[in-house]
Amino acid sequence: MSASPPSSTSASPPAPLAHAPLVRKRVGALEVLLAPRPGSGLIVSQVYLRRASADESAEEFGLASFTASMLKRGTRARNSEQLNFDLESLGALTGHSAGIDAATSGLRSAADDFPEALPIFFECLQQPAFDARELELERQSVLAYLNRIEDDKLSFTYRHYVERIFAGHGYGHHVEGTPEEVARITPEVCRAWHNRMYRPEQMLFVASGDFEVDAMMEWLAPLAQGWPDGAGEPVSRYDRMTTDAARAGISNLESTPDHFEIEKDLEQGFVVAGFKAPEHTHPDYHALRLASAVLGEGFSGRLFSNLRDRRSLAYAVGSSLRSHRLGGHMMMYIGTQPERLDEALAGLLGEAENLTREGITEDDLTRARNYVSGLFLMGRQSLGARVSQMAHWEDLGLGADYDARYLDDLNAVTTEAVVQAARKYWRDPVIVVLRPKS
Amino acid sequence: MISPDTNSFAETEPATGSACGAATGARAPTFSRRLANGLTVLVRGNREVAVATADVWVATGSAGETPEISGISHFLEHMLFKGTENFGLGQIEREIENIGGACNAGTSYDFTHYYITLPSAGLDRGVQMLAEMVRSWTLDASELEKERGVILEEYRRKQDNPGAMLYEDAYERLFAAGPYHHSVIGAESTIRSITRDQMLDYYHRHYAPSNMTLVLTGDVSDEDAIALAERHFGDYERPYNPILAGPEPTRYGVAESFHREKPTGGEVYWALARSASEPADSDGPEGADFIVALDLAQFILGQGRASRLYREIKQKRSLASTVSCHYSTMRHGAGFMIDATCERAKQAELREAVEAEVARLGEEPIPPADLNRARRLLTSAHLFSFETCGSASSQTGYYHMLTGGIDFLDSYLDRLAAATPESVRAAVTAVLADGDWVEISVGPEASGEGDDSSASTDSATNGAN
Repeated sequence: MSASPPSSTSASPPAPLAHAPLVRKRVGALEVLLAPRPGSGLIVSQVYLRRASADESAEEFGLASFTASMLKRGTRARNSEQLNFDLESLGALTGHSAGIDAATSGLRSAADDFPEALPIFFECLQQPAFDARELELERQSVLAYLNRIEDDKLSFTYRHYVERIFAGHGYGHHVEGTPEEVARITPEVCRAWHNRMYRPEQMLFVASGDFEVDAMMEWLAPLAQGWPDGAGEPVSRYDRMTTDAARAGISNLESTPDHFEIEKDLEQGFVVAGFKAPEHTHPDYHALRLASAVLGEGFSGRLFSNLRDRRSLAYAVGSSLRSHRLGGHMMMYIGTQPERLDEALAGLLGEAENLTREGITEDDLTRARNYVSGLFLMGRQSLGARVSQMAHWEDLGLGADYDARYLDDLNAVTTEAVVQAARKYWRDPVIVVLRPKS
Repeated sequence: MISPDTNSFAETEPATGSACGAATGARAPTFSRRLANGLTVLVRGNREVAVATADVWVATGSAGETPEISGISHFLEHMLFKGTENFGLGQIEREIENIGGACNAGTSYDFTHYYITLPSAGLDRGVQMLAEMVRSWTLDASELEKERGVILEEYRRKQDNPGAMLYEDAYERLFAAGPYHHSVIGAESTIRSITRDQMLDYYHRHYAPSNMTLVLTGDVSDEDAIALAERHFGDYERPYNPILAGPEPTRYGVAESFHREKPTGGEVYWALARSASEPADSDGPEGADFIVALDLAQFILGQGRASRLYREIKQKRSLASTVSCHYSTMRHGAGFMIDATCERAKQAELREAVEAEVARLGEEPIPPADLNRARRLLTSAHLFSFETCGSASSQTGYYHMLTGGIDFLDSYLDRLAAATPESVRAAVTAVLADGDWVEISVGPEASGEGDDSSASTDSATNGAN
């Protein structure tokens, strides 16, 4: 360790990837976004439904996720076994899930098999059977999954943290529901949810890979008529939010510090702590994104350098900014031995406080910006990441082709903006401590 | 072929999408060159992306350790990030992240690897940083002590994870003796006792160019890749002088049941495991074709929602909430494992049902539709596994560490296409037919099974204790 590395302040940001232009089409009421990538030999597509957990009333909690899971369990034309055998015999993989703001259904396969797999995929979306026995099997599966969350420290602690950081808001309930909520789901309510929500006018179809636009439109054309009759969901999801403040966004909610402790029979404790944060389209978003990167992302983030490298407090430590349509949070996490748990919590909060008090250097900002830009470019290599990103940005109103501007937005952030954003939002932490029983 | 569990240097970024890359990339042959100093360079270019991965594989892992230094490969992997002759603590990571890159490392039984993915304009700097780490590493005594604490936290984290403990217990008992008996992370006692001198000795013996492979993938040409390798590794000279002259023979545990009592959310984590090494006197497929046949058997049996185990165990009989099948090949052994999560009270019935399905696979003709399904799924998974340069380098390096060459990887799709129902059945019959399973479970005891000990072993017949 005799010499210092060359100065890194001159590092230039990564250049954006060149991609074929995005093509916008429509099949009936279904909006279509296509990003061909010739020669890849693969195709990935996603149906992005702008209705999900945040659209649930209190009586419906867990229903968006459960209904999405039922789409793989048989259609009116094929039972569950036949459906999955037919898809897998084409080497095709499908997945259906619901998040807070959107439910997504994905299909990926070799390009040669895609035209044959696509109608089966749409059959899942348009004609799910909601068979009573399959529903019971899915219920068992979800309940077992909820039990297994207990066995994963991060998931378990995070689940309690989400309840608290979003307390008083629709985001504060769990996408999968609680065991009690899952227990009351019936085929009828799934069917009703599906009829109301799975409407083409509430969806985007996004695909990327080795296809020609005209061919994809030919494959999609006969599938436009298959949607069941229904009026759709006339009410915007945000009308279901519990308060005016909630509808306006998470960061407008009253901020209250919270410290919650849970004891379990464990070798190692775990802490999740965080602060409310604004939505992706908010002017402060990019500054906060970089504040999180300076604080705790990558191996040279401050949490890793100071708590792991210098103080040996943890193996798992870091931070992450999570953003939904109405807002999100910036979470920090650390796992450590019981004797050092309080020191670890103080370390997390102390590093966040240091950043707001002492600011950051140009070197800090350069590292964070280039790190985040690099992750963004690396993530875009896969077709799956590409279609997910396109759909998400389109839904947020940024446009599916937001890529190039994303890097511009990051590059426009100054050190002052990072520190101001951190000072504005990193107040009143919500803390959940999972403490081993003494 | 599922790669064995690795102990990663740190938390990795969550995957942002499906794995893998261009079909043409997956189907293209691997470019290979051996430098004068013995370093093997493998290249799989994909010029359609503006990122690249540089990945150094060292053909040493926990299988090359003696019992008293168990875990040293993994410990050393952590320490390689702690400073070199020219870069202090944290400076290499900062340098890499400053040019938009991300680095990490992993240790397994047969290998350790260090990798950087970054915008391709920075690839030269990335390879330089990798070379700095593996060639010019320095070991500061105080940093060793600090990192020991980090690894002990990693160890504790594993103890709290019943899924991880299941695999740990299964490997320890399936590989009753030999190179895979000890866990990659080591025992708490050895993590605490490994010394600076032991680590320096281990490093100097094993981190030699002739024991390394540099894999470059993504936006780089074959010629440029070789030039980069020559520039940063060409004058690297160190003899390879391993601690162990050769591996101790693998001895497999058989017909054993082991339960580790551990609180969980309710279910037990359960597995049946057994040897899947190719027998010397097999009438069925041989070598690479044998491995491909068991890959297919794995998918017929327990990969996907239309697999036999999923349909029988989950759909028809509700014996488990998850079930899947894994075939792991290592340099000196192989294991075939079925794992599940289930209620403890259903464990016996689950085992019976799983064994019946495995037996059926060896006894009854395999319908062509079943083989077709497995083949198509495996082909698709293989193609997608070359989609990103990070995943492509992992695949390329892993297969090279496993087989010592590139033929297996480059011929994999052809071998999949050539496999027949008979070849799959013959491979299954050769290794899975005798019922000599090691059974492992982690979780709560069933009611009425009070036991003061934290672990119990029944009917061990082959010295697995």
